[in-house]
Amino acid sequence: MTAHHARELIPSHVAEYAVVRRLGRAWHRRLVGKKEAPARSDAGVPVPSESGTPVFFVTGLGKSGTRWLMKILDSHPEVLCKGEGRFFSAGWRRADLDPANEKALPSSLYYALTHSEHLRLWIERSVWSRDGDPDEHLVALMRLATEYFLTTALARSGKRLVGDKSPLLDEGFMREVGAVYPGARVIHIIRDGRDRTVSSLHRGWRRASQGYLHRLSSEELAKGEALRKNPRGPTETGVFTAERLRQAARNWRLLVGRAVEDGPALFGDRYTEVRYEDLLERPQVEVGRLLTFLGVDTEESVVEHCVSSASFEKLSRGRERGQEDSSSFYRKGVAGDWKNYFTEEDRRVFKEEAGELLIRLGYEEDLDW
Amino acid sequence: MSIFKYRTAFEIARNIKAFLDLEVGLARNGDRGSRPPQSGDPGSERSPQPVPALSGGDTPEPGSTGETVSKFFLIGRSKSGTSWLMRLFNSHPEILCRGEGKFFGEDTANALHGALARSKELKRWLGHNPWTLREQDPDLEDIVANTINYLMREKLKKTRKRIVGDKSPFTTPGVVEEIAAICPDARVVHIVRDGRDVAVSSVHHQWNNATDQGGRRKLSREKVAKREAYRQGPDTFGASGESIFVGEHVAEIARSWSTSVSRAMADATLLGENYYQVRYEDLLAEPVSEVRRLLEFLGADSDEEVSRKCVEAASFEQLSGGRSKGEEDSSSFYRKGIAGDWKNYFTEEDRRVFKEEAGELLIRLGYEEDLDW
Repeated sequence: MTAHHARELIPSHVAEYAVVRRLGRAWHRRLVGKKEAPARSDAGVPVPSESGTPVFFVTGLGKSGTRWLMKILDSHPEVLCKGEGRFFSAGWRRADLDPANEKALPSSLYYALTHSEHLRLWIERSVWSRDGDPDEHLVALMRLATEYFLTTALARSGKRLVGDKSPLLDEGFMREVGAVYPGARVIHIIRDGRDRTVSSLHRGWRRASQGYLHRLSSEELAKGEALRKNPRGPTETGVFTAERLRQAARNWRLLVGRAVEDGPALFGDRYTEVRYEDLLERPQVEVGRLLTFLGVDTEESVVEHCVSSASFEKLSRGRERGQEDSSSFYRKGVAGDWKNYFTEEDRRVFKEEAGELLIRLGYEEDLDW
Repeated sequence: MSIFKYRTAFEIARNIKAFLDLEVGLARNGDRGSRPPQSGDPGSERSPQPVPALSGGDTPEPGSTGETVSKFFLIGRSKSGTSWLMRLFNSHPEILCRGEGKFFGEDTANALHGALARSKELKRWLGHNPWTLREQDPDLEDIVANTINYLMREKLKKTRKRIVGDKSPFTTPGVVEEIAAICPDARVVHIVRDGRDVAVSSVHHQWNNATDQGGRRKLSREKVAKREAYRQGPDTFGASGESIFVGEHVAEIARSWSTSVSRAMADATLLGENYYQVRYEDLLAEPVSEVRRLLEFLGADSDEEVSRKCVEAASFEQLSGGRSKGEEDSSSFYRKGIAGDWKNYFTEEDRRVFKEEAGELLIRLGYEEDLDW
């Protein structure tokens, strides 16, 4: 990874999220300025072992099939996979986090550790840590805590590998995992940005109708209402506001685009990708490949068990793929559904923001769609 | 770096540790009875119970990222000889002892536990963690325990030593309880000193740490005047019958000494065999034999010659830079180094106040037989 490349990793202000950099700023500079994962320093922060760790991470942008993949892997007799631990993404914080709402999702553990002023002061002053680099101590603490929770749960489960489903929340994700866990394996699930945008909008409507926190404008809510009344109508008027679609496309380009660059650069052959669409089309082959990647049993019956116990029919409690229930988390489970929603203008906007990445990831051959 | 190297190193370390644990276990069981029971020593009233084996034998604790080190905490009311004993331990070839790490104190912002407990973000993260193992607070304590073990282990690795200790004076009243909850496998040495000498020493310490002496403590004008009067002529000051304490000061010290020492002694039952109490005065009178018992307790080499060397390395002469015991330098951290100095300072009124606040504890610890002093 070049220094130029590394500089680009500074989390920009991604529309869906607020990147809070206060105390974490120095830490970010340091992380970003480093070309490689930290090696042993005089402070005695250990170099995490390069392999031999039973820990892996499943990542992916929201609405890309991360939960589906998590369930597939967790049904393997040797694999424990749960989520979301929200260990990583120090620069990420929910924009709508209401301090009074105890039920609201937390920021990441890394955020908590790097933004505790008292902790930083303690590290700088304590006789046991003050002669080391505070940031490296924080990395070590992060590693300790992550390892502690994951491997203790693993020991109790009696399985061999443990994975956390960690959503891809910001552009720094891969680098953080690389710094804290250079020996971990990472599986990145990727879905056509257009489908995940449609899925994301449905999720917003669903949350709004159920009274949860959502980020939709009244215009978007009205579009959802219109769609509910006339399911055949969408392509004429469109379901997206121009700004929402642009943000979503840009977000997909920035985060997924960054992850597919950083993953191989930081983890080498301990990083792999899987496309949602391939997992849909040839589940046995893809699941077998992923299990081989993790180094666990890939016998046909085991693969079959993983695939079937996380099938759409099972997860949706009886619906077939394509049979939509817009009130369900497992709504439709198909690829290419975007075509039923995108207007000409939507296509133009998405091409402009993320057309190149669609080509790079093999979803389109050119911009002529 | 190969996997082989890492695994081998880890396994060797683990085997050595298992072996040492065994040895320590034998030594500790063998010599337990030789310690003369002290009044108020909670250890003497209990039947021996097995030490909770968190570090347990061959299998590393699940979740810990490495072996648990053999660690101890040296506790005591400030001005009771904790620094002296820390230096003494640290001069032992097998012991690394430093201070103050400030690990404990859930309510103290500048302690590790308190810093983590104060992080609202961390609290919320723990509350939502799908990997949570138990209730929220124990998870926090586990993070503290892992951090302590990691930092101590890293420092220990850089030495040729194998036992590591932190001087943890009473900055929080529940320190023993916290240690028992967070590091149940750790040993605790509690050094106790006659509260009246603690009071006299505290006054001198405050004087020296005043802002006008380059310290951080803001001293009232009254206290500064007292200090100046004393330093004009310590002997004439003593003869004048004036107290060195200003206002409620002697009562406050007596109260805090009595509360913190009693609390630690009461909580010692939580630690069982892992708690050892030593008196400053005994360490002064019979240093080598006391130190041998302490080293045995810590599982270190307690050979007489080794113990003698430790005592010499931390002698008053060494620490004070050449003065002999009893030769006062009021401005030094190692001021006088003797027992019973309070008699040179306490007025009748000081005695009365101290008896009222802490007379019972003096009797429990064997410093007085009754309140008639």
